[in-house]
Amino acid sequence: MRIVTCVKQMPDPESPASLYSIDDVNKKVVPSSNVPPDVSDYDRYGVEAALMLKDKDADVHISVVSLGIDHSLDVIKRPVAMGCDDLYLIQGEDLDDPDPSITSHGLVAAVNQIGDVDLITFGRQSGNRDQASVGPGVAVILGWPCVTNAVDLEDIGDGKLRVERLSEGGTEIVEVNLPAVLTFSSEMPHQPRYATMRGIMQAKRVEPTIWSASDLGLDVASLEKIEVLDVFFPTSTTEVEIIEGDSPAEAGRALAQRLREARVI
Amino acid sequence: MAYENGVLVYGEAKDGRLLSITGELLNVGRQLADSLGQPLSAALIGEGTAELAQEAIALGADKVFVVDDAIFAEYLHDLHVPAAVNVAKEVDPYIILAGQTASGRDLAPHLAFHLDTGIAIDCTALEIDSSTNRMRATRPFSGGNFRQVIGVKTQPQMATIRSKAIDGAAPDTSRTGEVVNVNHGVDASQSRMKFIESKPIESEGVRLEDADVVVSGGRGIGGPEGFEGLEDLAAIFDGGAVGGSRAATDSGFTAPERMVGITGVIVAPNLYMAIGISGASQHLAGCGGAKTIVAINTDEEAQIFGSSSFGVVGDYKQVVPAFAEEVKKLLQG
Repeated sequence: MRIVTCVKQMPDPESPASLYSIDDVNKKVVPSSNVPPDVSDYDRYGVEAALMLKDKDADVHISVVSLGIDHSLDVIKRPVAMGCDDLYLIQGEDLDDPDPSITSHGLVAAVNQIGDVDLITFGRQSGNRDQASVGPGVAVILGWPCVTNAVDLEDIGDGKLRVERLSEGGTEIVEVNLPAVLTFSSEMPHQPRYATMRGIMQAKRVEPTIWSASDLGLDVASLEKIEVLDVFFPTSTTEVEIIEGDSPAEAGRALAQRLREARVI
Repeated sequence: MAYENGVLVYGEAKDGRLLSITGELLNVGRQLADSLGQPLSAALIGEGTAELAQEAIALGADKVFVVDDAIFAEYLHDLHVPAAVNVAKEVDPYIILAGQTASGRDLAPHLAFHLDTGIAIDCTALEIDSSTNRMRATRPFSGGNFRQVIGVKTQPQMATIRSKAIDGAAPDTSRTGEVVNVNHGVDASQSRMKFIESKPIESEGVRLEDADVVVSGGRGIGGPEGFEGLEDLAAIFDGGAVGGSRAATDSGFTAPERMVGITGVIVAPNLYMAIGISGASQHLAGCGGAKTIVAINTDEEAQIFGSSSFGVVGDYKQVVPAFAEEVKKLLQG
């Protein structure tokens, strides 16, 4: 089986909003240089899902594909250090965190270049745009079925996967024909694995294949479907009233009385 | 011209009733349609939805497009998406709205790509720019740290709305409208996906999203045993339920389906108690609709206090039992 797992590089999500500024001209939020790059959190679960299939079948080959403007090799090689086989980067000035339509077409072009792909895995959404649209977009463009918000998977043979996914009020089991697209949420049976020493050495040796949008025959501007009209920080209006007491238990009792007085309870 | 066909919302129904997101969609859809001076349509895809068409009209729809078939009893991507595409092609609207719900977050982006158009995801406010007649869609992003206003450059302009971000429409049973049965044109035997079984979460008491009081724990709870105390506290309240931050659910302190946050359950209770929760923006996005947020945390610098009305700085292990005991007394008295 040949798997492509798509990962996005983004600014470290743990960095506070105060380290960002607003670029009013380009309608973007810009992280300060103190914000390190990271792999988008949910994408690690898509990588883990691919590796779970490889654990059971050594013939599984996993290619990591990422689209963006300025990949840090240290960051973007992390999925390879976790156990993936090779790395493809789609890079360019015109690919700075673009519209999901552009990203989806770019990833599809890469998948077509790689060829004979059976499965593409994603995180359920990026950590900095939260649009959850690129996995579905890739599936629609390729004409493949898509299971979103998956939390577990199993190859049941006969060109089918058995997938558990989040549903309203629980989970559900579906079977899906390959080739398919799956997006993964964090409610998996275990957390994404750490890189091994061997994986880190392996990742050092992997030379990424690098394409530009034009290498892949993409006309980026014509693919854009949404535009950012404005960007701003949310305003907080809440003023907290700290309830004190001689001891934590006293403060707890005072809190209950204050909530009663304010008719909250 | 699609402009004259106004706004189409994809309603949701379960067990023979419209879900609250449908009223929210019809409310904001009505506002957009009125701004444009164009009609509002609702699509109801499911089983038994024909009987709900009048209810959708009472909530503001001028026209209801009904797809009523047992094959749509459960949301299954490979059946619902083509049915939704066929309805959209029949209605040919100017704007399409859906809910950012378990099924809507799957349906909507697929629909957008099938219609070769753009979509603004998980919006909290929608309006029509009167100078251009185009939709302006406001959405939180980056886990809720920032806001942006999106314009969709292509037609139909699409958006999903966050549940509970917009009030539901009040029903007006005197409203009249048209009901259209749509031939969905979906052949279930061609599906590339098969529904095997659903695994509902067996939970006692009220559903988290419907709870009047939510007691949530985070990383600061330390382990599953700490959540037992939160269960006891929630049980004191009529309509109380327990939730958790992603740090707590990913660490196995409590069940994954209890995760409150942008990618978990969105709650809007009267009282939300955030205990040992730092207050990451992705968590706040899930509980920001609460009427009153109370934070208990040892770290007085924790971000959660910035979003709370009341707070106690202290160890929950000492604060919560005394608080629970006092609440019990007050509620009995």
